[in-house]
Amino acid sequence: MRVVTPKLSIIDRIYIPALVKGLYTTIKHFFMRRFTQEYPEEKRKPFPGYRGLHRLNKDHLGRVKCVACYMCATACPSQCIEIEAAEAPWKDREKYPVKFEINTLRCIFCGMCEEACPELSIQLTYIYEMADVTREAFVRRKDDLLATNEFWVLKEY
Amino acid sequence: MANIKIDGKELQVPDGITILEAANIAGIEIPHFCYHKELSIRGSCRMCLVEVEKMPKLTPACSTIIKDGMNIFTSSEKVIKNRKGILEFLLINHPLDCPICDQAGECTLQDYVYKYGSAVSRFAEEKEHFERRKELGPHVLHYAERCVLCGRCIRFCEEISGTCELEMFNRGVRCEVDVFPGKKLDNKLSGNVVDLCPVGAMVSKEFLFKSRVWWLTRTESICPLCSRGCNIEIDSRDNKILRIRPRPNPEVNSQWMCDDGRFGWSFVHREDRLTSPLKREGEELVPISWANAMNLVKERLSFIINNFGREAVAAIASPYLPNEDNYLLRVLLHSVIRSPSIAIYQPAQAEEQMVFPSGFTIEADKSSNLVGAQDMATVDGKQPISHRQLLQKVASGKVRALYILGGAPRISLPVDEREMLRKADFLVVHDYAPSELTEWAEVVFPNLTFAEREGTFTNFQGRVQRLKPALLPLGEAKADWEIVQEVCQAMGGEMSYPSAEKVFEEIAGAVTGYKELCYKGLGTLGKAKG
Repeated sequence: MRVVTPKLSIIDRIYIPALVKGLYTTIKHFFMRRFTQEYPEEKRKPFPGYRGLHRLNKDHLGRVKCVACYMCATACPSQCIEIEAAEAPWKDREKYPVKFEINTLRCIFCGMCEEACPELSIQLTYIYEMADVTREAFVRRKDDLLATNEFWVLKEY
Repeated sequence: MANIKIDGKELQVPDGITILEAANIAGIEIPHFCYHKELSIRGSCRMCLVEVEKMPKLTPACSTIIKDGMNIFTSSEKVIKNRKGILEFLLINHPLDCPICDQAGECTLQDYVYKYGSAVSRFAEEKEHFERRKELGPHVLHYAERCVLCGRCIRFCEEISGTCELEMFNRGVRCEVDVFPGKKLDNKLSGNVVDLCPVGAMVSKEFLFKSRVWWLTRTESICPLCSRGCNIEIDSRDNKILRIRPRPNPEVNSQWMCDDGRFGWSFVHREDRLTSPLKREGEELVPISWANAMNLVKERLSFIINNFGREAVAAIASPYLPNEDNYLLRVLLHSVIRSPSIAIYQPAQAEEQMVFPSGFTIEADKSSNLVGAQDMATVDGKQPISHRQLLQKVASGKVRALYILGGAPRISLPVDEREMLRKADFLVVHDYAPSELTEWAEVVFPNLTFAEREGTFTNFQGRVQRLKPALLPLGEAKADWEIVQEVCQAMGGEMSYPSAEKVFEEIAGAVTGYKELCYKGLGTLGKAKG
């Protein structure tokens, strides 16, 4: 293949105008809004609708709101939700989850579970700092998910 | 024959059938709740109303007999409007708790509302509430709020089981299905009302909250708990059976099955299931490898054959195991070891035969394959002896080595038979869990239960039906025919069947009555042997 070199005009060949143009862009950015954040000293504030770590909501009596209908597990495209239902110990409720696990390593944070939930029990929070050192720690159990709420208050983004 | 027209489709149907049946032949779906093929017609749900030309009003498809020249419309404007109206009425007091209802996913009300109903309700008032949940019997729970009052369960108890425990109580909006005061829905067929219920009003206690139905893997198999061999469907998930339901087969079980079979599968998940071959060391049985177990069996059997003759080796075929296993056991004895003494385990009949008014029968013989095992163990027209006769030979010292196929879901040997078993010099047993047979066994091979394996059962009518594996084998356990084949190979027999299908082909060539059969040809409903 033959490479065709463009014929440069005299202005292009002395480079000075291009240099000035480039320098102008650089200098302009000194006076613009800064985008870089000093993470982790400075925390990023998630946008509304951001999908982070899941939480399980509680009802007005402090019991888990989930009725173990498995809608979230059915809707989940990555099959990361594992529920085990049982007879609820309360009179006004019939079914509740004895086991509710979300494998956050598998989870793709699509928010389908939240959309499928008929009880508004599972919700995705703004929490994005989920790093840990063991695989087991990423499997969020029922108690972890119920405690997400308290955890979240501590983390003001 | 009558010439009719359904939705513009002209067809010829036999006389005396109803519009609903004619529509079935034409492949047109007419929604219905109260109609059921095996039950009497009640026409109470009004869901199946269709329009017939020259009839002033809509007419129920389930109870109108067709006449020559009828012109039927199943999806005219009037019919659609009626369906929508009926569904709206049904949903007025329905709790709409599909997310926690066990029936969701196989609920006809849910399907029909999705297909024919309206997405919004115009009912603004408070819903009528019932006692949330009632225990009707040992296996059945009733949610009156979900009930559509089709009366299938009531007709079932009147016509099929003949026990008449259920009735409708109260009137109007308070109308509900219940048991008569002081009675319980406690008959041997009570589980069927759960299958019959088109909605989630009748729920199985055993399956309650276990899983959502769309996650279940369905496997067509045969019930191993009596000689009738009801056609079943094993619903499993995560390698666990969650429920067993009957599969229609007009020749065997119609649409039903008994509660013994429906809830009697717990032995499959017994805690003490055997997972590797065991060898006796003193009082205890210790696990060994398959190769070592085979060597041990070979050594001991050869020793006994050399010292006491071929007749000193005997085997007991199992009426609880499929034909393939029993056939290979016969091959082992007759062709490889060349000993004539093959017996068959004949269980004592503990229960009486139970016949229901509809003709459905629970057999007295609780073994699944007695006919088949007898066929397999019969050589040149010579019937096998009973296990008791053989055990007497063991007791008298004529038989030194005994090879027993076990695998009975429940077994109880009389004390004297257990004592006779003890006298055997070398006892090999196949079983899925410790039992009375393994008590004195020197080598125990772990076998598979009906849910984990392939094979064929021959029921009391002589109908050969196929088992299909629903679960993965447990540990190192193998199907009995595989184990017997390995023993045959160890004893110098030349055979290698890669699958149960190949063994069955061999059976079809060798056993009288099975000549016409082919494994694939048995299909899901089985075939009668010749």
